Amino acid sequence: MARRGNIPLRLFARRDTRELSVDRIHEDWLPEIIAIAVNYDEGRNRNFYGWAVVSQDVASSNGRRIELSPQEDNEYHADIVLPDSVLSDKNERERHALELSAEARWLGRDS
Amino acid sequence: MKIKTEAVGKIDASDPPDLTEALLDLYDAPRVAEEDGDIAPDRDTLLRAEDILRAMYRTDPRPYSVYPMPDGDIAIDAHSPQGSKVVVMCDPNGGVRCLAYINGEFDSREYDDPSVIPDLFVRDALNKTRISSTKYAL
Repeated sequence: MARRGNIPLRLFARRDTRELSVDRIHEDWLPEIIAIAVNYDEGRNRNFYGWAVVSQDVASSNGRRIELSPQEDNEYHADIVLPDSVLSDKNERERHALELSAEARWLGRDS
Repeated sequence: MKIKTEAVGKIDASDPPDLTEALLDLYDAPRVAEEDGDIAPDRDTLLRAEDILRAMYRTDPRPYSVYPMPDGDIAIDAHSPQGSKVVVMCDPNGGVRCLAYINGEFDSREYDDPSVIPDLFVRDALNKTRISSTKYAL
């Protein structure tokens, strides 16, 4: 997904929702979060390679906010909540996706 | 793969490896979209995206990432490692727009006639991603 270091916009674009599902990452938690992510992707018959990482500052700027939304099998789960306008304005949705993907950095599971 | 390329477009033996890779990603976009539960781009959108990709590559040969968006759009994406990005978006209704995020500043253009791409706006935005790369590399 991050060929040549590029993070695609599609990772930060969703139809019909303002919420982007993410994991909160901290260096100290990495082994546990990797195990959760590997398990999740195996359940979808996929391989887990790593994350597109955005900082908390970027994720919560320009009308966006972060909501903690721990799940039974992932206590690190959160959502980046986009402004209401993205539901009716495709250009606005793309603008958020563009900024988030441009500011994101790839963190491979073996980094 | 052969069936898909014949159904959408054609890769020439003379196409450079970077362009060939981008074209393969373009032809694979419907499968990727369906796998993710998104709207798959239709044939007209793929053909329009191929024309634009080839025109952009002729003007500014570089690795482009090509992938589907959730609404059936195709994104043609050029980036710099320092976080600048230029994306030409082809939508299923025939619309084309260019989104640029250069050094933290956003700009965009919409096009009624995709054949003008890469116009001055796209060329200038692509050039700025190179300038920002150079600036940070020094």
